[in-house]
Amino acid sequence: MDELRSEIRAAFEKEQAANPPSGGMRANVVAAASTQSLPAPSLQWIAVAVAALLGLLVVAGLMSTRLGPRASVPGNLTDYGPPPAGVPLLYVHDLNHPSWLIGFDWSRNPRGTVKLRADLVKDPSAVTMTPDGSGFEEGGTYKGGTGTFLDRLGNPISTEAGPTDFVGAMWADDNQHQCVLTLSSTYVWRLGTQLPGQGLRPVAVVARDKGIGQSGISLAACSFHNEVAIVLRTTIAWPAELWVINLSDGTVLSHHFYSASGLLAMVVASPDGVYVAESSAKGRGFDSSDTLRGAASTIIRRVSDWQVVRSLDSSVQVLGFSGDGSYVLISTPSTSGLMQYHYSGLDWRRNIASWSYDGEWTLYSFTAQPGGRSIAVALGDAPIPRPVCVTPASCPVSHSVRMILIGDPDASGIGNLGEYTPAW
Amino acid sequence: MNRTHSGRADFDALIGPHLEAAYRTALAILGNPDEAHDAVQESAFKAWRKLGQLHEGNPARPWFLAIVANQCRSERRGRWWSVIRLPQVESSERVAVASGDRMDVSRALARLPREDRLALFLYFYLDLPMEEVGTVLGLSAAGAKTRVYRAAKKLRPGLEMD
Repeated sequence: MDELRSEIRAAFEKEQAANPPSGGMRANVVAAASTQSLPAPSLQWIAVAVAALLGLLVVAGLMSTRLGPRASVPGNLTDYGPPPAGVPLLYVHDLNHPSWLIGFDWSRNPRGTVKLRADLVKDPSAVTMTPDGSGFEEGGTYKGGTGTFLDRLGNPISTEAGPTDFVGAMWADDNQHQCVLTLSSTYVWRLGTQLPGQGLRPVAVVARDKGIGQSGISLAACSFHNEVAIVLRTTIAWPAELWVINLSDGTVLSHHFYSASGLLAMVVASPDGVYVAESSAKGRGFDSSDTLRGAASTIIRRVSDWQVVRSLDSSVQVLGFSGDGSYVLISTPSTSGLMQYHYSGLDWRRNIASWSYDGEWTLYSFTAQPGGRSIAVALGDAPIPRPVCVTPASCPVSHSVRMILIGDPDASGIGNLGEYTPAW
Repeated sequence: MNRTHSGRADFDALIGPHLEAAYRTALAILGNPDEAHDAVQESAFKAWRKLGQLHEGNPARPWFLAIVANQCRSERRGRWWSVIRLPQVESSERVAVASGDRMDVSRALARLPREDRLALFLYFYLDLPMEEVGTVLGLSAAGAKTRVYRAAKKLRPGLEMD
């Protein structure tokens, strides 16, 4: 015990020695505090009582306006009615009723409830939304997939069978189309586009590989507004190659290779395909190879001329862009301890974080407001994989979402939606 | 106590000797010297306003440190609401924590939950008696002892405490 006491004391001493208290602290603190006037206690109680009364009146007023339109539902569920058309919504699974999806607008107001029918949807928990919430997919991800498509109200859309050699898809920034990647049996990677309910339209051959190897190709952006897709090759764990492809005629507009001497952890693109962010591998975990050979900086490039428009510290990881590309969701090392996490919404042009989270929950998933500046972030327990598993399906992780935050630069802050499972 | 010059002197006599411990506690929780100074100053404001709640004969140190700990907790909770300008982020020094069969104590301390870490700080670094550790943490002395013991055991599995 004495040995441990010494070690703990030494550890704290080392930590404290770097930042001793400032000289004159005692005099300054005492002087500042003791010049404060004291509020009269009786008035304090009156103010508290008045505030409590006003609070009760406000709550009663709110309840009177909210109770009326609610439908009668079992348990403590609230039915917000059919979701409005034309309003971008953010859907979450109701924890008490998995077949119900609650749609919030980006001001965090509940706007509708979609009730999935058990005879039409096999696994409600596998239902994800399109980026603007104007539709759903069962068995895909919010970025796309080959699942069953559902309309705004949760009714299935008749769909042609998807490509058999499908490897990945992403919803386009028009919230209607998807970019789709396929890989043939002869290792040819192809890019196509698709509307739910219609067949695949081929766009371009991206690459012809000699074999499977230790690399894969995925989509980083799919913009119908700018008619461009950004496709990324990852070799082992590091981005290696990037293509910019015209969606109209399949032309490869540019093709870039990433150096093995400046390793990157990830490359993400803005939804309109105008910018890419290249995050240094130095900021990724404990891998000595990453640390030693990571790129000197994390950077943001303009895709059209491949110029660097913002350079950030190598410890900053850019996880994604806002819908309008003006903000990035970043992860930076927390100064509060190894098991703490720090995420921010950064206005990358001005290098100002408009909101940030610093705490014990780690990132589960995120999505961007279509065309806007807000970013929704689901945070929860750190995933704890089972120690022994054979296939990915047999390796479920202990991972539950504890809060969904909406970082909203316009509101200069961040709001907590609550404890839901995101449908994105 | 009246709020005159003698009031300031009395306040200084009561709180002054504990300001360094308060700052060190705030630094241990917040990890940032500027924020720690701010937290101590804000705690002193609160202590001045709440002087009437400190009953005669009760020790001032645990009472004031409890105010500081609460202030730091609310600082941490409030952080993610604020608008901040990103400083130049220093390179992360992330290295493996395991060294042989023993974990480096500094890194193991950093991995502990905040309240566990605070318990160890108060007991082992500030040398507070268990009763005072309990007051700061909002626990009984027995509860504080259990907290310290469990936290220490996370650093050294198999530890037997006196």
